[in-house]
Amino acid sequence: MSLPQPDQLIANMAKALMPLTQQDNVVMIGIHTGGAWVAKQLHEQLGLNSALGLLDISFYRDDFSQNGLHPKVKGSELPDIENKTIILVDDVIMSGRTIRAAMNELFDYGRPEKIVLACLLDVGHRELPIQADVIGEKIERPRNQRIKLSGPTPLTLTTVNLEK
Amino acid sequence: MQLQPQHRLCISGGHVFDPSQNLDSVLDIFIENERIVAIGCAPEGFVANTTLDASGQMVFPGFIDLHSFLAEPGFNQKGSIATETQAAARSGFTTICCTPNTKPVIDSSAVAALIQEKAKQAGHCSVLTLGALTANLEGEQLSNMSGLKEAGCVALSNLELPFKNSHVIKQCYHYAAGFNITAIVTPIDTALAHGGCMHEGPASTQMGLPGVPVSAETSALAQHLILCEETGVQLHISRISSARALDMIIKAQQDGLPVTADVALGNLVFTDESCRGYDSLMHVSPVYRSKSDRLALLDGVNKGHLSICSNHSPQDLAAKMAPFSASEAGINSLDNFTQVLLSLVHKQELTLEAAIKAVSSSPASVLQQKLGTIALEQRADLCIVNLEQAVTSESETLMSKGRNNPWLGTPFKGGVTHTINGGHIVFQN
Amino acid sequence: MQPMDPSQIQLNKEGRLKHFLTTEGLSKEILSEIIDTANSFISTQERSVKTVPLLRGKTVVNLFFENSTRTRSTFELAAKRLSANILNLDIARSATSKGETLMDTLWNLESMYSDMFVVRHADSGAAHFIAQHVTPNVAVINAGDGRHAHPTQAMLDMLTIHREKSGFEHLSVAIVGDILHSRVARSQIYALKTLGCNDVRVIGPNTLIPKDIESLGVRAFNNMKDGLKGVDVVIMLRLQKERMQTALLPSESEYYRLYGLNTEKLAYANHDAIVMHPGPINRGVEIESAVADGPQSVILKQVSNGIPMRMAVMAMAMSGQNQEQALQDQNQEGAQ
Repeated sequence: MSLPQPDQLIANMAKALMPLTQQDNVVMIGIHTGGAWVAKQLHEQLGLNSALGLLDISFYRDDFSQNGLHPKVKGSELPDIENKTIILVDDVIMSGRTIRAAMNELFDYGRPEKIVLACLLDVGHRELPIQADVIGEKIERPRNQRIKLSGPTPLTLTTVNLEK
Repeated sequence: MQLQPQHRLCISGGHVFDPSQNLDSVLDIFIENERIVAIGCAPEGFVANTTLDASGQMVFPGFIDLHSFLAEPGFNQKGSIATETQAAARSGFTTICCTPNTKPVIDSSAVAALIQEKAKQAGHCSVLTLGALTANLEGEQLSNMSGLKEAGCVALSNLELPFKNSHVIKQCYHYAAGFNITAIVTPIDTALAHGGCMHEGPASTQMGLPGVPVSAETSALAQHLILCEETGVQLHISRISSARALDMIIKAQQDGLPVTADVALGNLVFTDESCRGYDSLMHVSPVYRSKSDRLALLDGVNKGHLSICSNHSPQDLAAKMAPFSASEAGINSLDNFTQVLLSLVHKQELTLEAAIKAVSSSPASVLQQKLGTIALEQRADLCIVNLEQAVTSESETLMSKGRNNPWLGTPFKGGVTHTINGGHIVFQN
Repeated sequence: MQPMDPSQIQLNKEGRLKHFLTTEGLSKEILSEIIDTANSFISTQERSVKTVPLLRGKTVVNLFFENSTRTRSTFELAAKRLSANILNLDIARSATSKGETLMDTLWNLESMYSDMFVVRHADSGAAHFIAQHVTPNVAVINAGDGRHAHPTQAMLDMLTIHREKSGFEHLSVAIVGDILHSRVARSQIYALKTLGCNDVRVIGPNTLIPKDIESLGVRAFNNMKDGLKGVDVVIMLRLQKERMQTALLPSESEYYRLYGLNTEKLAYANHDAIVMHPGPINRGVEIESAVADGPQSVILKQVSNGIPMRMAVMAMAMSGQNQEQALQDQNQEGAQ
């Protein structure tokens, strides 16, 4: 099964997000690393004035006990989020755990007014009650398959088969 | 008094090796009761009760140790006369000198007698007591030197313990000289040692452990040698650790001073580099010094300047389960002494001749005892060694109570198969 | 019998940190990773909520056999900012044998399901001993052992140098004072050399410089003029006042005259040299106030870098320890 072109999906997402950007308190934050690439393109296409934020959720993962600390923690770089409407961007949503960790971290930086979630792909298999507000495309995939975004230029999607 | 029944033992076909007697060939040895009665041909009418086939093996004089801490009386958790002498016998020792740092100290004839009695009961190895040179080893008052000699102490030692001042040392030597008593010391200037627990050098600096400089040994040694010269005491320098100290002793001997010396086996094997990793088994006294010191000491043995002692010091587990400097110093070196000694021969660091001399005729002459040789009418103290036998010590196979053995799990070539003490087989494997 | 390489017991089978005992023998990659991780924690320390949930549910025991409220507090704060539970144990030295006290304490703690020990002990090699003998599944962080090592202090200094000078390759660094008794100096020297700093100097009187210090790859100087010439970083060490009681130094005034860092002596160094001190400072003994509080001083930055650095090594060691346990569990399952 062929995978869609990320650039096309991002254009669609930008269209869907456009109404939100009419407000003046909108901040866009991408989740390191794939989410940040997608966010960068969206940020440009939407012509947002506020700085683009980067969220590294390494310190908030719930699988630390099994997988340990990621060797290259980047550290988050966030603008002021107090009372802002946040467009949180990730590449692929699956279990929902990354988003859970990301929201926990966001709340340690401040209290946003609203969070909107935008994801390039939704591959199902959710483990938490978290849904994206804007999706590039929804794709059904077996559990042992992951879809990986490579980038930052050009952005491409590939299928990775897990062992076992 | 009842006459003992005749006991006749023949050791046949072994390669008899005793450099002090220029023996180096396959010969039979004939023993009657506790003496050697013939070497080579059987005496007329000799019928052995027991014959040991020693073919393919070496027959050495029984080994003599100048320094073993037996931990009894007073340190039951660390060792006992029975267990430590058993460990000695398995390594081919037929005579060991028991150090005076027992509790109570060997500064009375009663303690000396008690130890000799217990050793006899155990029957593994002859134990000669080293009495204390100063009362309670405190370095202040002279001990009852003459009385200790009469009680069987073969020499008097103050170990590495400090004297109150140099006058006390001089008085000890002066007094001992008058009774023909051999004095033993391990020279360490406590102030210069300054609480150090390993050799002062690159390793101690990098590990952040306080070091004992070589000068702690040599400056004390200089003082002992000068007082030896002045008093004429027969002086034995025990467990030297540095090349410099060896030079000083050789020089003193050349000047005609009545001085002898030994080195602990461990100091011929390990260096300060062995302490890296903070293994408390490398915490010993005197400390392991540099590689060049180790090589010089090996050379000193090869040239016949030094005897080799075990410096056996059994410790209980808790004493060693501590950070390096907080652990008690010392190792159990009796259990595998011979394997380790022979490994130095296999590595060609020692000649077989020098190695055997250093644990037989040479310590015997330090003690002025008629021991340590294979000769007619000599006491039949012998050990039989298979030079090729593969041996590995494990914690469960140790005979000493001391678990502080740095050679557990190390494969060696060369094992004692029999130890014969006064004509009796006291160990066989 | 092979002597155990002390640096290797710090790493798990994947080569990742599972204890932090010494900077000696660790690769440049690991030391850089420690600095990078600490750098990321700095951003979390600038927000209103300073806590991250990384060590949630873990139990950290501060095991201080030697009193040090200062160091203990920074570890406590770092553990709390990682959301760990922390237990403080100050074990003053009792009259009983040192070794027995240590063993007894550790056997007791072993049965309390601790995940990490932060150890301060007066004996060199103590943290190493604990990591090796007592607690296979507990991460051990050395908070100072005898004269041997104080790796977290050294690494927070490396973090400070890295942030101020953005690299180590072309730096000249001088460490001034009581090198002999300093665990900090030893850990700094190993870290600096590994991170690529080729010119490390120690400055002090001969009585405070240990024998064979050159074996660590440093140059020793007896006077500040030669020693400080052209350096980019001046690290002052604390002079314990009790050293005056022994035959190490003649007097405080002579020491200050020779080695006390004042503006005149600092002028021997490069004009943009930074001045560091592990604290607490003896003003007027090893450093003049004008320098300690002056524009070249980064002493307060060192203090604030202490928390993120300790968070970083705690997180990394815990992570490596978890990884090792996970590997062991897998192997056990595989064997069954």
